[in-house]
Amino acid sequence: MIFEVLVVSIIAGFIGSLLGIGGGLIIIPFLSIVFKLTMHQAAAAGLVSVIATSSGAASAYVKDKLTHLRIGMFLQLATVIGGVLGAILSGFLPTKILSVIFGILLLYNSLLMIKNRTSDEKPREYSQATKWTKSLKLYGSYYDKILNREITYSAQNTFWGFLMMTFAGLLSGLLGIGSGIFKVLALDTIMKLPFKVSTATSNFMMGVTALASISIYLARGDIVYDICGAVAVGVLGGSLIGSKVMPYIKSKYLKVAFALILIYTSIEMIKKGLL
Amino acid sequence: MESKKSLDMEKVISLILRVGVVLSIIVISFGLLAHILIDAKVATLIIKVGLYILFLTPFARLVVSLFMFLLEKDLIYFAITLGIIVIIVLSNMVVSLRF
Repeated sequence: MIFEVLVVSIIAGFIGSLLGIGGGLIIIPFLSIVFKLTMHQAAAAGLVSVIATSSGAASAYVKDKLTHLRIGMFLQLATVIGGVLGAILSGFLPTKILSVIFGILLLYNSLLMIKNRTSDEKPREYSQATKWTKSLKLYGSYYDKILNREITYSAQNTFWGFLMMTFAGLLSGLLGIGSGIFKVLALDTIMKLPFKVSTATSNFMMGVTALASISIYLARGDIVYDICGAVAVGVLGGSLIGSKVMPYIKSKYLKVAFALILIYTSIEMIKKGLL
Repeated sequence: MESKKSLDMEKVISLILRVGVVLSIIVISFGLLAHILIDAKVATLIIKVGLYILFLTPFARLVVSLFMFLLEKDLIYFAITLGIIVIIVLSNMVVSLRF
């Protein structure tokens, strides 16, 4: 069984990195539907894959100075609180209800992916720092390789961003996913940070968020070590292959095809919870 | 002066993350190999050790950030980082006691 989990994890990591979504979203339904794990055990394995891939990728992003360490650190307070609450809450919810929530979230994610398949970044003006952002140092700059100039930015709507991050952490702890779309939503849409900074900072935050959640799963004894190990190695390996292959894959039809598979999977998860 | 220090911080954090992930993946892979080839009892233990190295990687990153904020005399962020560490450790202890 370990070998099968390893192979499936490699595929999940590969597809996840091609689509720009976490391996957790793909591996959790597999573990739950095919390998008959409870949602709690599957979520724990998902969190392990989040720690492995986000730490691997964050290492590169931080070096490129795209990550804003202070914004990440400050908002981690929100995601860690949410992550702990979500993980504790999951202990009180039956596996069927978790399955339905997961299915709905995956469905939302897949539909969003089809809608945003041609995403390009629009340059925008960044307004001045406010009192909050000044005292917390939530501003900075990065060198944009495509625009070929230094971009300065400063966080807006800090309070609402913090709130959205708590929600992202909650979902992460509850379901075992990285909940990257909600983190990027908070950073990019609400706090108006540049998209590249948002994705890098969101990734940077995932490791610590997942750690906060998994420490609860660990304390509760929901971790199947052999399977978690296979998932960690498989998803990381698969996502490394995916990131190497990605520049050569341009077809947006591929993304839609994968998204359709994910929609099918999410319906299966919802059915599994309701029947 | 400040930018030079935070540059160092970025390098150190990047290094910690890389070393932690690579080390844990190597250990886990050994465990998986042992599991698949000889199905030994010790395999699960090796995998467990590897997973704990993986869990400690973001934690080590937090602890190092804590000291670096202290060195930069950035007390707000020292407090924020300390708060994060306290929440993680305390919640783990509380749940451990309950189960």
